[in-house]
Amino acid sequence: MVEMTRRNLLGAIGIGAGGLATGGALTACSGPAGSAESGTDFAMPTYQPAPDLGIEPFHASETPGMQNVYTEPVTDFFKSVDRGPGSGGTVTSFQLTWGEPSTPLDENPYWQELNERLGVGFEPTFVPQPTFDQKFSTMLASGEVPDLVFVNDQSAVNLQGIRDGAFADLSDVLAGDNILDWPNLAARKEDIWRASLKDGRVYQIPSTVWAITNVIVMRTDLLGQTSTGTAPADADQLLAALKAVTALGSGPGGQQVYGVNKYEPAMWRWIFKTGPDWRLGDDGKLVHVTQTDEYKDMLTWLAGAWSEGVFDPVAMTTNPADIVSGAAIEYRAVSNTFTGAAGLAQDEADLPGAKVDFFDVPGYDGTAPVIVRNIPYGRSTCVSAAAAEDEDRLVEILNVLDYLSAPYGSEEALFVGSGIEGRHYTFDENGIPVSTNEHTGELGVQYVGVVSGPNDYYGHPMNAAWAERFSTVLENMAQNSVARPLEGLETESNTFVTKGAQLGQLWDDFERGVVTGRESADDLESFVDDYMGRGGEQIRSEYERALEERGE
Amino acid sequence: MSAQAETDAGPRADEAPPKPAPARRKLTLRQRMWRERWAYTFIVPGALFFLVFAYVPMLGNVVAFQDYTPFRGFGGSTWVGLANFEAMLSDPEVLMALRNTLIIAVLQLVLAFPAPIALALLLDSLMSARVKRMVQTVVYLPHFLSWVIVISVWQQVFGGGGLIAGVLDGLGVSGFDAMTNADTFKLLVVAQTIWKDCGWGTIIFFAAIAGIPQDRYEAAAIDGAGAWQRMRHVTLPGLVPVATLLLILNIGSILTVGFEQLLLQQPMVGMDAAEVLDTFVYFRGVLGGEWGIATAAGLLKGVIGTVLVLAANRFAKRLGGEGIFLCRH
Repeated sequence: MVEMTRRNLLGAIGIGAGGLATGGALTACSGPAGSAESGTDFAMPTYQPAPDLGIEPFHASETPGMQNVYTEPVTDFFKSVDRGPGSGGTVTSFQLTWGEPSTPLDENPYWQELNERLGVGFEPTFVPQPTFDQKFSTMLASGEVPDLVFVNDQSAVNLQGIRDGAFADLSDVLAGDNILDWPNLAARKEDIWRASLKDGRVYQIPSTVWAITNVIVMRTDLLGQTSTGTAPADADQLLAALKAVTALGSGPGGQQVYGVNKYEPAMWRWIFKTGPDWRLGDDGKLVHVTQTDEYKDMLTWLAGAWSEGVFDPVAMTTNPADIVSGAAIEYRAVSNTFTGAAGLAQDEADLPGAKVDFFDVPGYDGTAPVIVRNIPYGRSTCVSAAAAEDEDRLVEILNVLDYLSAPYGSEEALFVGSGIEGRHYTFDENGIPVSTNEHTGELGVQYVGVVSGPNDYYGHPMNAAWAERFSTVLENMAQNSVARPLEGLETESNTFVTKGAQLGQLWDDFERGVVTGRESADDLESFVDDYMGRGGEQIRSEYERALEERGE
Repeated sequence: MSAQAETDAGPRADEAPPKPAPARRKLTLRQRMWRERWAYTFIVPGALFFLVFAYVPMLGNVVAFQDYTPFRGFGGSTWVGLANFEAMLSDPEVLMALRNTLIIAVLQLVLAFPAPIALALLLDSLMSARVKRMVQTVVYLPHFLSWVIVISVWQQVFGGGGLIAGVLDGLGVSGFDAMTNADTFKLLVVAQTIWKDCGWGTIIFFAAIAGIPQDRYEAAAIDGAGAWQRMRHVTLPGLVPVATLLLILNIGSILTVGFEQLLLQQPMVGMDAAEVLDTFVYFRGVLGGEWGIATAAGLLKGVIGTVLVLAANRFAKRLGGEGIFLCRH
């Protein structure tokens, strides 16, 4: 009964240290997703850039979707905050882990040092990624919400927690210049805050992310042997080149090679210019990508390519270990090609004779491709509503989060991300921290810190030889990139939130079926009817209403 | 309560003095329980297990009548009457999931249920005890593998890049891939179940075979019955009580057709072929947050299971069997 009283109270008075949440926001909060307010009744948090890194960018760009590219590592690490974040209390967290939880506190110098620096006892609950949503629901049902909670707001159950009042409304606490008390949290632009609002209020601290996180990498040693070469200009030339690579049979090291070895829908959608899942027509109506001619052309082309042996037969596998062949072109993350140590240089080292480079994405019709930019924020962290009832406590929690979220180039980020010098990392000849590959199980104590600062592309010195090409290819992609019309409104369709996973699977299954010949592209129309009937139409109307409320 | 207490006190008082042997049948349940108190003590852990992990969680079924969210809890969520059931029954996905569940269930009952009996008979007919033991060990093994491993192994053998596809490719027949064929998927599921659990299922039938008195075989042999006739007229009738019991119990869980197995393979064949009630509950409830509808679907499954098991029990009794509720006085 006590639990219920507490929850009802929170629901009735509104949450947030300021205790000033308005009635309007609360009404929206308890209603269905579609009832969101479009405007805000507080000043958006002030943007205060992170300190200058003292290094020159290799490539500077103002193109929307493009970040500066750096090749020179930071050598002078700045101090992002001057205060001791905590005052001896305890801060609990609920956070994701992809592997084993870290070594226990009493055997973990990193964790001990973290507690020392934070000035609090940091007590995380590690939740394995595959069961995160289940555990999240269990945590909510227990009524005991940890102070800092990792939140994936694209997940229905996570979103339910936000809407039910499990987390503090931080709108007033962080409004305007108030946020300057936490300089690292302030190092994100307004569009990031705006895109992550829920029902017009700040419930989560969002990470900054790259607008473009993936690239296509090509094997120049393979494509170079084809008559098309390494720069096919359209879909026909690309098909010819990919077929020619499959026809080679094997490449360096006797490795079997194919045009493509793993099916990744996104890169084909760039090439066939299908745009985002929902496109906004001139008449203000939303059109699902499966209803477009470009999408049908893409499926037809891919089915043809599959039947001509362009793809490795195991290209549809969900198990990466099944793929042992080489491929002419491959969809990769920027982080494992350019910014991380395991980048293109490592690819070439792993397979002597292989030559790799970034692939300048062509459009299928000989014009430019269409790249869809990511929504401007990534993982987020929420603060427990119960903990936030005490203002001093809320300040301490935000201080801790501010420390954990220090931007790249700061002493704090170096410690949080890399650990203790000598034990977890050493500086290499380039002056960048390199893991000692020892005691790695001690790290990973925290994963609630959000990414702050400019979040540029910091190339790893090992991949410096590709900096020019990377900059050119990314700049081209950014210049041909578009934002999603539903940016910031993704969670405004309740149907999408609850049925999105299933509908996505239905769609993915059909698409893969057409590509592999199990289904036919001629059945696209009946598939679209089915998809729309099972919830797609409902989602469309909910999004259109949200757009209308936003005034578009 | 006090009347109850008096009644309680009576029989216990009766028990002590050696009165002229009262007829045993007149003992009340309470008296019999007291007499067998040590035996009942052994039941306590098992009963507690079911109470804590089966009966208490059943209370959670109230979610089926609520617009439930975890943070608001049972007490804070609004009651919606039968709205979840209405929404569920008008949802084409539930009907699709129910259809798939029933088809797989029937196939499993027809194909997977008799498989261990056949295998047990086959193994029983082996002369060499050593070979028999070896085969038994081999066929038990897959039971201990997780579905992830089983499906990976099947992928390596029957998948598009698997062993059989490779051999057929060499023979000029291309495109073999039994793992992604939606039309035959339900048979694939049953085949995997048989492969994984058939050997394990033979244990109980072996025990039943071992329990058949040897003199019956001898008598049959003296009467001139051959090996085939002995199996038909002695072994098989000896297995009927166990088979009936297992059949009734299986019918109770007939709609549980393998959550992990189907969830893992759904991406390969699609929802239309692989969506069952359990995966529906997972997607709609655990991932989709529509706890009410998902629980309603789960409850429907439970109710159907209960009705089926009671019906099957009654049917078995009519046929002259003992059913599952054995009463021995």
